[in-house]
Amino acid sequence: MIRFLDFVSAAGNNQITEWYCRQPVDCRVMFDDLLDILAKKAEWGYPEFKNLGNGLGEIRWKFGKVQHRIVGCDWKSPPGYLLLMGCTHKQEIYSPPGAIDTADKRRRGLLFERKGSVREHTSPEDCAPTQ
Amino acid sequence: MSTRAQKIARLRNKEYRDAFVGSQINVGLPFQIRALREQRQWKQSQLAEKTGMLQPRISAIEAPGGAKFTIETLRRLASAFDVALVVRFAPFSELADQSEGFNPDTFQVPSFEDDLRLIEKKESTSATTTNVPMMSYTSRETAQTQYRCGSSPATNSRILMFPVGQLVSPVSYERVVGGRL
Repeated sequence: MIRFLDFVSAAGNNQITEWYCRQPVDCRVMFDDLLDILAKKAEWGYPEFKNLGNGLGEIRWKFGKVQHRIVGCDWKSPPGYLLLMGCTHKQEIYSPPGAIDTADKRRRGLLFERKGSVREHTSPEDCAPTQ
Repeated sequence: MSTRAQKIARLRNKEYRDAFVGSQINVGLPFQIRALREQRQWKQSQLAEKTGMLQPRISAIEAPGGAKFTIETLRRLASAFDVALVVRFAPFSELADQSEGFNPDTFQVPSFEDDLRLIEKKESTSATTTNVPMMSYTSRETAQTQYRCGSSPATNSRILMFPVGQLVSPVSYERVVGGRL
């Protein structure tokens, strides 16, 4: 089983939880189910996963007419797949803009500057309603 | 990733329950379909040909949330794989168990020919080891049982490709929460 980890900023904010709670409930449940499946899957590949190069990858799913992405990377200690940034993707444009750069900065900050931390991923049960 | 206990806790929320049913179709089915295709070592174009669809449509069908499924689409896919398609209402506990136990790497549904060989093998083994007469259900009896059990308005649907159907009486979420969950 692959363990998922969340990126937590230097200020102590879990960026994945915050992103998760901004999504509609249907999108959240799809994300939960996708992680459940990927945790058991030996090899990830298209269409649910794409290697972005530079050590980054994205988990992909579509909800409604929107392509959702979670950018992440393999992590050694603790071992698992680190979720760095949630975003959407349309016609080669990520939203928020620069999402991949932000994910890369977070990863490098963790690796080289000890900026931020990682926490085991659990989907929060107490998100405020979004709809 | 969520544990079974977390999933059950979330199921107490009606909005989550409804979304969970949708997600099992939109995320679970694409992985089932891809697993069945890869098990048969078919390319997407081969599955497209067998279903009378276009390859980009198969590509969308295999992506999480990439396509809206109709019963007709699923029926065509089931026919191409030569497997049965079970569409019925079920209790949430069953859906949660199915979700928990699903692994795309090990998910397998034998085609009719392989299924038949297994049934015949089982029957011949049973006949030689026991004197109790075997009971078999016809598809008509199975369907009648299924409809008799499916009258509760508070049940929830699931769709699964299956070699042989296993019938469980649908139970409402409230009853399940009061009992098994």
